[in-house]
Amino acid sequence: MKTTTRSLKEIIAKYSRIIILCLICLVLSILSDKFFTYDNIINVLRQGSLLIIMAIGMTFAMLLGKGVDLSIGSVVALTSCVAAPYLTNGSSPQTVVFGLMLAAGVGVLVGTINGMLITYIKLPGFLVTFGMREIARGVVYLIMHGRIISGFVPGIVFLGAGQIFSIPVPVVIAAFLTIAASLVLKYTRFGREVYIVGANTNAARFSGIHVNASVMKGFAISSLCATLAGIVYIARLNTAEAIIGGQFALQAIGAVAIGGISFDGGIGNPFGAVIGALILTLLTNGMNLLNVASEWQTFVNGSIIILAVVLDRYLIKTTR
Amino acid sequence: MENNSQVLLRAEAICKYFPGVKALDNVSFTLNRSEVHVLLGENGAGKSTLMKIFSGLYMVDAGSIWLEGQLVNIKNPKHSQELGISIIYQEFNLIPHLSVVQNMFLGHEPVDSYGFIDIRNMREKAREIMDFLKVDISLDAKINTLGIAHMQLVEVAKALTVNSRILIMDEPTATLSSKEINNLFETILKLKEKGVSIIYISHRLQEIKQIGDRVTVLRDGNTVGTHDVDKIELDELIHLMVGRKISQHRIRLVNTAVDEIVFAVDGLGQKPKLQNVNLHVRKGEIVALAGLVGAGRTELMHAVFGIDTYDTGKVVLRGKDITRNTPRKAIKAGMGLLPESRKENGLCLIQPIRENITHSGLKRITRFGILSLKKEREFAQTYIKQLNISCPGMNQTVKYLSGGNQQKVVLGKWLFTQCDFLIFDEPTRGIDVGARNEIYNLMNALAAEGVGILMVSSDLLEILTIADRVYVMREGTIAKELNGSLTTQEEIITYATGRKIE
Repeated sequence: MKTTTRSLKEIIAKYSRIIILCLICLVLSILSDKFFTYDNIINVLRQGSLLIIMAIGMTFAMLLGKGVDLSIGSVVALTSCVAAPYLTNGSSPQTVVFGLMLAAGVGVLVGTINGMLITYIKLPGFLVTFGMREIARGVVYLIMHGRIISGFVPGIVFLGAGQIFSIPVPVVIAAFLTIAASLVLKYTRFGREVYIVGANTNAARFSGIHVNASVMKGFAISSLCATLAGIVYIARLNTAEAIIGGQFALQAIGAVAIGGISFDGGIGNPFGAVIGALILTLLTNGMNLLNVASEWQTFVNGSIIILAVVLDRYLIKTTR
Repeated sequence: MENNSQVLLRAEAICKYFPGVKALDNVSFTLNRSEVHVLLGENGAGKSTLMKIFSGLYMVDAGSIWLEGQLVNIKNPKHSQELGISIIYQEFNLIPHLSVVQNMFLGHEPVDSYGFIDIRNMREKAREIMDFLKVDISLDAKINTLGIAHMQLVEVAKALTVNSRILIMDEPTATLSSKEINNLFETILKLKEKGVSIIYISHRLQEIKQIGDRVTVLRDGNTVGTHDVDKIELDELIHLMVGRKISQHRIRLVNTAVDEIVFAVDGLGQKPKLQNVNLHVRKGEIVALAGLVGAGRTELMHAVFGIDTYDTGKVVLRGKDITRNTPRKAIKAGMGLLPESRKENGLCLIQPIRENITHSGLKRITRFGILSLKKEREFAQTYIKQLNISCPGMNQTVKYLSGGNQQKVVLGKWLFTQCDFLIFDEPTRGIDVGARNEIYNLMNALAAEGVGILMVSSDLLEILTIADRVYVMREGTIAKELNGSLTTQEEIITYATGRKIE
């Protein structure tokens, strides 16, 4: 008897986020007949895909337990603006590939520097990535000088606006990334080391795990995901400019917080981050459908983040 | 007896229990006015627990405390301070970036009629105390600019700001030079003249004769006796400390050591903790590293394993030079370390047993960077069975296991790496007797398979139970090498305390 009640509780705890997601869907379908339509659902997924991509990167950074990555919004702007001149209409495929590689290189570099400062200089991740956020933003302003680059080659536009089997390409990218990240974290040695470092950095060191390398890789991945998000974002807008992505880091942090990824590290998975991103996107979508004033939307988003974390703590306590 | 004006503090039949442990069992202690009373005992004898009761950190489970004939119930550290009891821990309780005077009055700053801190009054009082102590430290110096000896004096001065009648000093000389020790002793004498009584905890037997008036010996949570210092010989004190314990059955019946040396340390030095350490372990041998807390044993283990760096010396494992290495390379060369603090350094408490077991040997279940979870499950099952880890299953979170089972998980983690040399740092601390014997048997079995074992232990009985050879460490170096099956607790403690120097 006792075991069945406990396991029921455990099941609720385990799937609490999916349950909440479904509840939100249910409430929104009742409140608005426009919500549960094919077009709207696809719309939500398309809007959410960008946040999902960044939240998955953030998941790697957070699992290491070295703090959030505040720099990703600026990395989105920096990498996409670095690549943009090579992606404009008329560029040869080689030029486009070069532009994308350049963006990836810059992304990895920024993330690796974050990781190096956190590990070798032992600075708090919050501080390092906050500084990097300002630096990257400054650099992109310098590069762009207020310019706006628009009109990309069809291949890039396809990344943002195209469809595969009537599913938007960004959604496909986000889905692939989710699966890849889950596989990496669960089935590769690197993924396991990320969890060990996050669970107990000291024990990781005593176990011969290369802590510094794991942290640098983790932050590099966070940055690289932001780069991917940046390319997809400018592809969709068909425009690149220096000001984009100002709120992205905080939205991604909100998503992983709702998704149950521990701020102390070592607990959580990419699916959680996806659910968190979807919950945030759904709420925005639903409140737009219901014509909720934007002031209240912000208010509700903030409350949901705190509520999710509180619920998490409570569930963890009661299941043990 | 209550009106005996000589007695300042009297503790009667104090008992204190922790889950599974009787830390203090019927301990009695009296402190006279203006005396230096030395409290002596092995690691774990109950000295710290008794002091924590006096300082209000622990509540007694039974027994009573009288202060100047009044029955008192020390509720918390603040109450203890109000009663005039101050304690100076080994780790000082000073705020590094605040000044000397700010630290002295921390939490009880004098205020003027407006509620502001009365800085002039505070400085005057501080100056008076410093003059009395004949200490020449600027009141405005920040604590983090001071040396250890000066920090200690600030602690003493801080105790005097609250008119302490009783000052407890926990191993005050552990980190001081001999000149600084003499200064400290002068300060103690001044305090005595002022009417302050001092409870002095120390491992250093020579100091007892120098500074103590009376000495109380604790052993296994019991008072063994109180003596006038000038009426007792040091050898007798050692005997009282160690006592005649119920002799544990020696588990190690056959010495499985072969000639081949698996691990050797040559002239290792790490300022200021370690000097010229030389030791070796043979294949199949169990070697114990004995010594008092602070002798540098854990520091040595962390150095050879590559956690901390060191200045001089050479470390060789299976003929391979692994001097100044990283843990990663030490493990690769065939070394393992069961750390003293399992929870901080040995385990990921939030992870399941299965994952903890493979921490150090992920290589064994990885191919082309991909983990084989199937192999991991098989190995986890094997070690859970082999080590007899009692748990509901391999996915049980390690946090919810008992200390003994947690230690077995750490052991499993190292067995999984198939290492040739294993360091056990305090392998049975906080572990119940049953699991203890299981761990000794496992060590025995490992040695029989040819693994070299170096065991750091503060438990003399444990050393006599399992060790083939014993190195006694004192003040950062090996003071003596003894035969594990022939030596006695008295002999080990004699060298550990420096009563006898070779």
